[in-house]
Amino acid sequence: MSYNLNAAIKFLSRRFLKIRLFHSSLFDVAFFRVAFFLALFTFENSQQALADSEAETIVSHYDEIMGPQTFESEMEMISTREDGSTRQYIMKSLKSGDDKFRIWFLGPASVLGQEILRVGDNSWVYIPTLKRASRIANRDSFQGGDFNNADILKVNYRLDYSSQVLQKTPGKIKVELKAKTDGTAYDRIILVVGDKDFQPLEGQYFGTSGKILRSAVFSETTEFQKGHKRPKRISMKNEVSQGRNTILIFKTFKTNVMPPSQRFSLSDLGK
Amino acid sequence: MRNYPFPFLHSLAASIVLLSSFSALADTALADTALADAANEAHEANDGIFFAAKEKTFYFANKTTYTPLQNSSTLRNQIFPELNNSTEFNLRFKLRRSDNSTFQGDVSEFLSHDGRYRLFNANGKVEKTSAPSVSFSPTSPRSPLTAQINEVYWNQNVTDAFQVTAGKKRVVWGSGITVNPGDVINPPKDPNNPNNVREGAWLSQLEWTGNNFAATVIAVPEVENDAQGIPLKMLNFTKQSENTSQQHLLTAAKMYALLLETDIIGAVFLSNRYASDKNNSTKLMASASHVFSNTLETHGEILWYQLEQQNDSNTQSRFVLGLRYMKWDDVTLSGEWYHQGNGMSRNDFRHVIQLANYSSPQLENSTSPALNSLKNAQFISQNYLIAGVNLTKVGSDDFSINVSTKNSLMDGSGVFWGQLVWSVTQALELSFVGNLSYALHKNWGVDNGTAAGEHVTENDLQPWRYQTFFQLKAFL
Repeated sequence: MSYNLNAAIKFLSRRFLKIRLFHSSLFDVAFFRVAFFLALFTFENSQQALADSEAETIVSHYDEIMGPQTFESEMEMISTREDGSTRQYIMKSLKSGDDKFRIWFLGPASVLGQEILRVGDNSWVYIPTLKRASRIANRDSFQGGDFNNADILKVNYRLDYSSQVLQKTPGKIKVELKAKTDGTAYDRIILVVGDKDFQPLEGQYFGTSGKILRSAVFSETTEFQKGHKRPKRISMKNEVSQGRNTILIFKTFKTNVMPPSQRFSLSDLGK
Repeated sequence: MRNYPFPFLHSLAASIVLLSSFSALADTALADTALADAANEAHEANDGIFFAAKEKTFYFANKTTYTPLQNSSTLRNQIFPELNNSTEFNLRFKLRRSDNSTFQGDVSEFLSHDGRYRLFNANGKVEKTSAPSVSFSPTSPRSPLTAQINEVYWNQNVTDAFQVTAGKKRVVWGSGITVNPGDVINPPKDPNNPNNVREGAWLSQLEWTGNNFAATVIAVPEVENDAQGIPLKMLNFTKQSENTSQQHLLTAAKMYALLLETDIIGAVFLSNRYASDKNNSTKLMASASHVFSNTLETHGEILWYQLEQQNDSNTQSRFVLGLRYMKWDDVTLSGEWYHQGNGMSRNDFRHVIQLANYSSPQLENSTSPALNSLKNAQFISQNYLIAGVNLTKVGSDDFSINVSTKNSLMDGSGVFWGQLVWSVTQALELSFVGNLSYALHKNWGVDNGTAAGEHVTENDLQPWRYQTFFQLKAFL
């Protein structure tokens, strides 16, 4: 194999390039051999870089659609259990920058007054009956539904996941995201987005064991505010417990708000 | 007025009526009306950086408690009810005058009935007795109708960073779950069920909040007595021995910072009168909480203080060190070690028990004040382990179980607390709770000094061996 490669490079260097850099053909072969591998390596890397860059661009678009730098929204969450019974919650949320998020629960009465705050990798829940905030884990279920805390509180993927394009089909691009750290909610995510507007269409979420945990369908793309479209409805299916799913419906979504930084302070919870 | 004679039947009847009403109504009414209203209000209020929606919660809770009494040589000539039925009407509200001004409250009204009165006779044996008279007078300690103001306060954002708060508020600074040794402001928590105590203190507070830090100054005038939650006398106290008055005020300053993903709190307290420790002294408090690997929360909280009876150099501490393991979705494990430097040593406890047993039964209350003070104390000795398991899903999402145990490391006695909660709907919740007092080994208790050579543990100071209650809670 090595002999054949040497012969090929020797042939190419003499026949087509018609140059002699060195007096010894041995040096010529060595030189072209190195150059060939460097070129191949660079080509492969550039192709990979282009693919990565494209994937990162797609994920950045996803982040901008689902979690712009600042927004406030009102949401309704409906969880369906195995037995068909449902639980319904009304929330308000406020986001600032890549790492600050706050939620106020408005209903039902049993959770009214609960609040959640996220700053960086830290998340707290304020329970009005305890009159205090406790730390919570990102992987915990969000109000017993099929979203976990990070699904709601960490809506930007670009910082936490590396990405690559898996497949392009007419109208759709499939992107794979892999966790950069072990602090993320999922180990791997497969996102399907529209190839023109990058609106998310589907998602599959995998645990560290490689097992699929959740799958999501994004629908009802709505222009809540001029120039900003996003899915109004996210339906998250629990792939571990059959029959369970949770629907998150965005009632309002307002971008470019100017929240004071104090809204994202632990001491502001409960006020 | 005579007591209501059938508290259990009362509770059962009330529960059946409420169950049938709410189970039929709650799912449809709540989904169709309350949540839709909340959504509409929220939607209509979307004219600024939110906060215009009215927020109010009203709940009704009916609780029946059965506490069979045990013979106790340390309890004499005291009357206890074995049955209690209590109905709580609670209102929590948040009124917004503007984005920067809120008025919040958490108030309860209790209607309580007792039954099956028992008396500890001169020998500490339990015997039947007639019900003591009760009065509806608001100042009567035995009034069946009582009000409790847990919180009622006004909060004003003077600027985005600067806030003023005045009123009654529970301000919890430390990171302890079941006990907050650094809290010298509020009524103490119930270690087995921290949700039980929501009452705060009358205070005024200035707070400056920055990016990942906050500075707070607080003033807490002490309330000498109140009626139905309304303070009748505060700040100025009568010094009976000298027939003079003095002001009792606690001031505190706190700094909070989120540093290296850790909540760090430092506070200093200054008062001319604390509940039990040295007057005119400074107390220092520190607290920290950090989550490792997104699953293990660790926390610590400590208070340094000086004892009243000792010289100034005698500084002691109370602290709690704890863990909370959150790896699984439906299970949380927690454990805390609580140490109080001024808790009783084994010798101190033996001394108090032997004094109580040797004293004349009729004079027991007066000859053993130390014993009486211990009967209501949540923590007597120096070291405790408190462990808990919280299962948020048991078979079905509608059932959850909380269990915890508070164990004295001095004599191995403790209380096991278990709660099964059935969320029938989002608006209706049934709870079954059992408390079981236990001693790992009776001989680990102290010798009571009598000829029989009986051993007494911390648990023997409470009148019951086990306690059960059933509660129905409905949100409207």
